[in-house]
Amino acid sequence: MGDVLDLRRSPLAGRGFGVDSPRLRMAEEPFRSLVEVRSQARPEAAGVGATWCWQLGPTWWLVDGAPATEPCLEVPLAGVVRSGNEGASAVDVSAQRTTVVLAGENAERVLAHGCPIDLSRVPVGGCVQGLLVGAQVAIGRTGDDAFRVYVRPAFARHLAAWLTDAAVEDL
Amino acid sequence: MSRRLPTGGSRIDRSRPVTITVDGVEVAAYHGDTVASALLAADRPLLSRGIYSGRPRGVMGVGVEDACAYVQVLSGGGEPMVAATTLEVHDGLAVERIAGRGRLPAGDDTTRYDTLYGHAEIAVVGGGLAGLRAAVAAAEDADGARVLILDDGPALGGAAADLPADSAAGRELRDLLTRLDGLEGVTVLTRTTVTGSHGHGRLVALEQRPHGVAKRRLHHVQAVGVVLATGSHERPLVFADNDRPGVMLACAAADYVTRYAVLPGERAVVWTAHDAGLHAAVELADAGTEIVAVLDVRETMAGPLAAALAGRGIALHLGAEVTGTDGSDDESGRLIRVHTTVGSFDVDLLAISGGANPAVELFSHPGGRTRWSDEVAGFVPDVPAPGQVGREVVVGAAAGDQDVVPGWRETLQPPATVFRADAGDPELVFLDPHRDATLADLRRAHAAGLSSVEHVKRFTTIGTGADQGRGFGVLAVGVLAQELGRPIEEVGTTTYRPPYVPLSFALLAGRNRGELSDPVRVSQAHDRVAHAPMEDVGQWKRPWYFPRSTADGLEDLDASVAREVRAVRTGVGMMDASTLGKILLQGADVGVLLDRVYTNLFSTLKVGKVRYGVMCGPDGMVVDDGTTARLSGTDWLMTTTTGNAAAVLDTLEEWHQTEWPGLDIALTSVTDQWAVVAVAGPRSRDVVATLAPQHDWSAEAFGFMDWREAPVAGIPARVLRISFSGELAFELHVPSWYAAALWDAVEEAGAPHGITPYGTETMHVLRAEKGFPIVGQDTDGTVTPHDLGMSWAVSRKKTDFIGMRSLARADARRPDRRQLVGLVPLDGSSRIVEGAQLVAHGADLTAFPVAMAGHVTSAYPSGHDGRPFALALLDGGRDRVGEVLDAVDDLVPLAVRVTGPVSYDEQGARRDG
Amino acid sequence: MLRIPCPHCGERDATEFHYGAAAGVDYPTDPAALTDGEWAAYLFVRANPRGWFRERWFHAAGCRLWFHVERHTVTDQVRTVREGAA
Repeated sequence: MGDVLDLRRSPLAGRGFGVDSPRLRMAEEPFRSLVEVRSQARPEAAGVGATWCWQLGPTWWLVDGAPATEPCLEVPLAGVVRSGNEGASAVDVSAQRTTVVLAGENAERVLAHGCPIDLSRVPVGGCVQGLLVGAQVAIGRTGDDAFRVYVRPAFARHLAAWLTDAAVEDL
Repeated sequence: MSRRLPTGGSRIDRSRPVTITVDGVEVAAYHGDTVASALLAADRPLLSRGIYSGRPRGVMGVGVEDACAYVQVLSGGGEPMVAATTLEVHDGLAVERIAGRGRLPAGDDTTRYDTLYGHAEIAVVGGGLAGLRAAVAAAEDADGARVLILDDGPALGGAAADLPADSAAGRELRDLLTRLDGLEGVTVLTRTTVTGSHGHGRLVALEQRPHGVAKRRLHHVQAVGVVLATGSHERPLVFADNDRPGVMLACAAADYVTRYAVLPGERAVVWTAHDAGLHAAVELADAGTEIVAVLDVRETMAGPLAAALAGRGIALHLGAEVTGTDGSDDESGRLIRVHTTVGSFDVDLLAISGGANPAVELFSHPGGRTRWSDEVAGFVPDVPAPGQVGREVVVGAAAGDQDVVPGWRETLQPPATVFRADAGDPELVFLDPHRDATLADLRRAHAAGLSSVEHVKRFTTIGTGADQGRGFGVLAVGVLAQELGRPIEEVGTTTYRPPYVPLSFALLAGRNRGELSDPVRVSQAHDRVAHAPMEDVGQWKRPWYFPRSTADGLEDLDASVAREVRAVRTGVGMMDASTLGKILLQGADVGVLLDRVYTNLFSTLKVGKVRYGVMCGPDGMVVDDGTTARLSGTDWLMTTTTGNAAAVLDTLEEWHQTEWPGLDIALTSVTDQWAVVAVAGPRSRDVVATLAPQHDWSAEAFGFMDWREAPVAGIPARVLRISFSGELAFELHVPSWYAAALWDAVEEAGAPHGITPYGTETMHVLRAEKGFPIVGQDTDGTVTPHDLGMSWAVSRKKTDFIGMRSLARADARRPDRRQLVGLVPLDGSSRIVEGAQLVAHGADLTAFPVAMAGHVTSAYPSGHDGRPFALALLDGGRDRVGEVLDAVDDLVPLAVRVTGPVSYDEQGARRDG
Repeated sequence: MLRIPCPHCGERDATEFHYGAAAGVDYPTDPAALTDGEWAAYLFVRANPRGWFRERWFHAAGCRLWFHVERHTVTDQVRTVREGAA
């Protein structure tokens, strides 16, 4: 079945997107297992292979884990989250959003070219949803100068082209 | 002859010579010069000409208050009408002088423009002493507060930077800058002009970045508190021939000495109405200008300034005025003589200063009101905008504070208010040099019966130039008050609106231009279909049609669509339907919600089945339609029209959260999760069977409106038997990262059957032949399900659904409502035009009003039979089948016959293949 | 720029929100029992006061919460915010 996994194409594959400079790294992390969860409490996710769990709303969460290793209609992480969290609903959104990671001392500044949200007030582990360059995104902070941006694949090319242009003076 | 002084110049760097080109002639300058200072240094005072009068004009001011000195930038991307007093020189800069108005550069603007959003607890506008005091206090007080200082100059300090370093002001400036240096959280933006205060702490600012990749950056600053320390603008005085090169504002003239080491005149008369003009006279004299007379409109004068003039042997004439000027006969038209009430003087500089206008523009933008102050002799902030209360303070000269520079208040003599309306030939008294508007124009406005300052502004154009009245605006108000015989406080100022200085549209757009002008959404199969002409559907790009190359060249739209339609009706076609909106509904109460939002019953839908539904608003009008599949006991997948996906999700959220929060429901958009390829046509079953041979796809095993999970070409998938064409059809749903692979697999499996890709136009033809309406095209917010002939989809069993009460109104059941019908041309071949009005056959189109019976909502040149047809909304249409009407487009009638909305396979015999 | 304080996300630009008009207009429990006039009043008639106004906002681009805001229609000042819009 490995052949089928090879048929996948991430939204920014072959677009030449990516920056690796001393003050800024930008790249797509394709095929992450992403699960939207509705739950009163923060879903238990760390024990089941998830790397991050972002709060999107009072009872709304986004769990981000390693890519699935087999072709599937629903990533296994969704089922694991569902069974580990009584009463929570879980939806596989792995192909509904792709992940763009930004890191480096200018990462926050690059986002500020197109995002009106005050990211400096977002703590590590915190997440905001809003508009980035006209596209709805979720932005999670993973470190002092590291972010994960979750964007719909349909908007990914626009976002990538815009950020690449905006980053010219921030490399 | 150079007017550059051998030493001094706080803003220039003599070690960095710069050469610019003006009208093709090289001009030597220093780094830090403006175009205005460079030209004054080169003794070339003529900078532009009056827009109508052609009169020569020079530099009057030293910053944004200048109303005369505009140039066209030729180098770089070019820029029309830039203020020479704020345009900094750099090597390669080429400008030319202009006559009043600039011109848009030909060709694309290739300049890079940037945008940046910023946030601060305190934003301080203006980095002079008053602003710096506020900034330092805020930063020292509030732990961790972000303080942002924005200043339009190349360095902080404002007016204090032009005073001697060992003066009280100079010492305080040095102290403030030192303290600022040691403070955390302070950000300084220089060369940055705040152009708008938009309320709620939002400022927009223009940063000039001579060394940046992006030459200009637009800052959007969100602040909790705003300190306006915007200073003041020097005000001129009026007299005849007040617009010649060589007539300058007095403090501006002195600033050219201290900032740029440029002596603006050899011999000068100074005329003032306040102390600052006397200060300027002393500074000019000390720099080497021979001051032949100082005139002060005030009757008495005592104190150190009078003594300073006397000590330099300069004659001070109290109660004196300038009455006119003479200019040279040559092209430069420069000042050669000043006439005053105390005699005439041959000079090359007339330095005037009528007072200081507090810079209240940003205070006024969000709605702050000003009042006239006799003490300040200017309009000062009075009542802040309601939304700015508690957010905004005005400090320093902008607030009318005359003690910003330490030590001045002790010796201050009250300023005089002088707005003479009898200042010589009114045709030669200019009240807005940039607009070439004069005292005579103002009098004509008055004679025409205008008395409101806003009306006079529009009649005379005074204050509408590029300087927006910063130079002459208040002066013109004062003169108008005199003309009207009313106090100036009653006349008031015109409304100040953003932007404070001109902004180009390209800067406002930033990088949202061309390809990036608006977010473009593309399906994940886009690369497979990108060769097709695209149709914009909302932000989506969708393939419109797939023209083939023929011996006669590439097919046009009509030929391509005819071929695509034929393929689906007789063989098999495929289309990328990924853009359909998709919403996953989860929870125990989804059936309850669907019963309320759809007009028909959904809670009875069994797992494994799909149902079509219509949604109405509370007013009973159709807002969307689509299908919903029941995936499990708790999970349902809804599809919406491409353009309505977000609106439908929002509506569902609204009903759920605001009316029925007790329902156990979670809504998730999965539009982008699933790529969808529709396979349609009598041969579609063969294609699906090839792709998923492990399942039985017969009508018995997999009926209309069934769905099942089944790997397609090995790709995990859901297969739905839904048809939007009336033909046997399948929708294949796969996780969107398999979109291209799925497209390829369907193409390959369909090749033996001649599978034909089709676009949105063919989809529209196919559905229109079946009488399926498109919400938003065949409906317009006044159409009920009954009007569409869809009473079958409106439940009579349910106690309520959204819109039910409205549909029960008598009006919703009127037999003469506009109803969906079909149309065919009477001649069988003429094309019906979308949007055409339907009128009685043979109606006289010249006898207004012509009674309208309806309109054409969709029209196509050919259906399966090759003949034109259309859908229309027609008054009482269902009872008018067979009737002949005229469809009128652009006054040309076309005879059409009314048909039922379904023009193909009325019995629905084809959906099982 | 009008700023709206979202109870979950904090103060954001109004462009991230959808306006929901007056708060406290509940869907009638039994629409069929209403006269045409009463139904039309529910559908279309809303107060439009000069002054404090309780209204609904939806953080469409953010956390997707509906909530109530008390806003002054002249000054745009916001006095109270309440999560939930039932």
